[in-house]
Amino acid sequence: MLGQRKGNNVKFKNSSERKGRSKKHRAIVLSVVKHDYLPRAAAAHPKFHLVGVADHAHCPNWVHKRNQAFADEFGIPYLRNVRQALHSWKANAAIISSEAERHCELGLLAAEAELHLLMDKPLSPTLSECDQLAEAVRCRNLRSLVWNRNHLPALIQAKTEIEAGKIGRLTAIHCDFYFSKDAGPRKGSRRPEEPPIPWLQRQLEAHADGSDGGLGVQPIGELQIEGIYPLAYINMLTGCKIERVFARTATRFHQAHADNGVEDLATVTLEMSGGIIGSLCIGRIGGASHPDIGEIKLHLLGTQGALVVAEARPEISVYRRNQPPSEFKHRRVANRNNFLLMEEFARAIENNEPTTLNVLEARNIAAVVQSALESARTGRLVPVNNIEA
Amino acid sequence: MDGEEGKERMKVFLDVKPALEKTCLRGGRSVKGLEWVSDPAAAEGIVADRLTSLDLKKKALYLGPLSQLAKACNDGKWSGQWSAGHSWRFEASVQAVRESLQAGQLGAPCLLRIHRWTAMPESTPASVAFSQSDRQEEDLAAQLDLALWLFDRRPETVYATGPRKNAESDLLVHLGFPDGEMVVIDFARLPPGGDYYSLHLIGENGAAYADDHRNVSLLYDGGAPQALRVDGDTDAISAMLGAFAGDPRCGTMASAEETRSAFRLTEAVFQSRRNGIPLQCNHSEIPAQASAETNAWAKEGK
Repeated sequence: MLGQRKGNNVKFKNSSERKGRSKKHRAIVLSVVKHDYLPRAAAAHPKFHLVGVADHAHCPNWVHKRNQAFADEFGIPYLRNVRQALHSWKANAAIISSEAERHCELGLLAAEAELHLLMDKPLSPTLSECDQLAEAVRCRNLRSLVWNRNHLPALIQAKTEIEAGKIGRLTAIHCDFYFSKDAGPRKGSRRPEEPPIPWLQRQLEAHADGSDGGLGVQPIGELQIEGIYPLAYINMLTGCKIERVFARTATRFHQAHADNGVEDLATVTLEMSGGIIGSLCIGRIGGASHPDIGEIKLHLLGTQGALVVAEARPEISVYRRNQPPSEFKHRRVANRNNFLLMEEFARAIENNEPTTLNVLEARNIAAVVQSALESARTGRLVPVNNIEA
Repeated sequence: MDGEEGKERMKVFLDVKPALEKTCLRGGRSVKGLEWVSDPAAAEGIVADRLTSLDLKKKALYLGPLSQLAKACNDGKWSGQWSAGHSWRFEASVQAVRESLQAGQLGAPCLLRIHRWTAMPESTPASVAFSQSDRQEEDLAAQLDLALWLFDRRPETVYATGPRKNAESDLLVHLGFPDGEMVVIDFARLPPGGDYYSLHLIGENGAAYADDHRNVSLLYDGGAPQALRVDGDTDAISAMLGAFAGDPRCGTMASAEETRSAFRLTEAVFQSRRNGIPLQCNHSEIPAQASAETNAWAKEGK
């Protein structure tokens, strides 16, 4: 049915997607303990070949089990020695999907081995580590792509309309990004005699339903876990840096967040270069709050008009007898985000082209999040410590 | 008077400009507990669009600029008997959201997000439309009233900013409350044509979404399809008049005191915008909204 409807965004697949005959990039998977959609997307793309999984020998057993399971599924080796794998497997790209707190450490090792980087979000909860990685990538002129959702159909359409000048010059951008997922017991459900929920344990349990974006020893709130997605939209659509933020955060929904002192709800006012303003409402607001993954919208204002975008479109609806409550009734369709991300990563490696979100941009988003958390603590307007390219 | 059949109706004298008169008469037709009378002396209540015409001895619904009512209230000239006639509380979508909240379906409210975009009039040059006006202040106060009404408490922090371009008309307001509740409201001007409104309220147990984006029909008459909003233009006025006539099913009027609170918050917003810094609110300066139970008008059982 491709290409049958006039005026829509459906396009024929491009030549490389159709042929898939060009030289493959050899990608080493450095830890795959959280979201395995990165290495899966690479494995599914004709230009990438997974050569193996590697991680540090000193990692805990659950890490090795997950790495081994992925390696077994794809019939590739798992080596408990990162340096040896980087040295011996002759890869030219690394795919990093470890706990967020190890992203940069693994990224640095890969960068030192001159590998291009495909990294899971967020770049890191620690800005100084982001700085080191950004510098390592810059000084070696490596390509990098941090995972994002900027190639979703609605985002592509929004970008097209803005670039066509349909709403004039952009003046404001507002993003709602709610995940209507539960994250363990509800806040207030823990009895006084019960111990606080350990963050890592909760994240390990969450792996089954894929809601373990905060996996790691270090607790991180929803601004750090998910904030990069909407902030990457804003980065792409405005092309501007966020210079100052005012933020509020709260923990209202989940016991694990409350026990570990991290937010599950946040609002951020954004002041950008070029005089553009924006706002972000973000949270993990509980499974009862939306029939699907959550209300995710963009409101864009320009000098000549405005655009209201639902990130989930296009979608279809399926309602049926005996439908499990956890099953989304509205299903996204025509979504090639994963493929397009891999496609642009390949082009970046081959042609030195830019990516939608490189390590430096992700580092600056991490700086926005850090400033927002500081603002929420202090009640002040906080400047963002951006680094220029 | 509760507006039901067989109950006594409230006699109301209408003292407004002709354009508003048509709206009120049309809206009042469906209000069973209200009877328009032509003799002010025989009226129990009055609906007016200027303060000078108000008779302090009668119940009054004021439809003029809210800023004037707030000022009069500030000056101590008006008592809590007076109701403010801004209709946002009576929009069908807003009422439905609040009913869910009041019924406990959403749990404690955590976050309110409003997008309020108004279309410029056809003939208005951008240079004129994009200037701070009383209308913007009224609009801002009405939306802030909704925030105070839904949360039923006072913010501790106010921050407001705007884009460098359209600096006078576009505004982003960010409120923080003591227990972590938050409000984000953005105001903007659209090209001549339709307005846009979106309100969602995130609660601890659920969320309510009222969004024009969801409520449109598609019109195909050549070229790109047009989105036509589906709404009822007199519902809010009818509900407001019904509430004035004492029907509790129609909703809760904003008292003069609540209107004053909203305007004090409006002043704080403009102050933050001018100074470019967040304000820590003095609670005595922004009084809490009265709840439905303590609202003077509702308390009288009218």
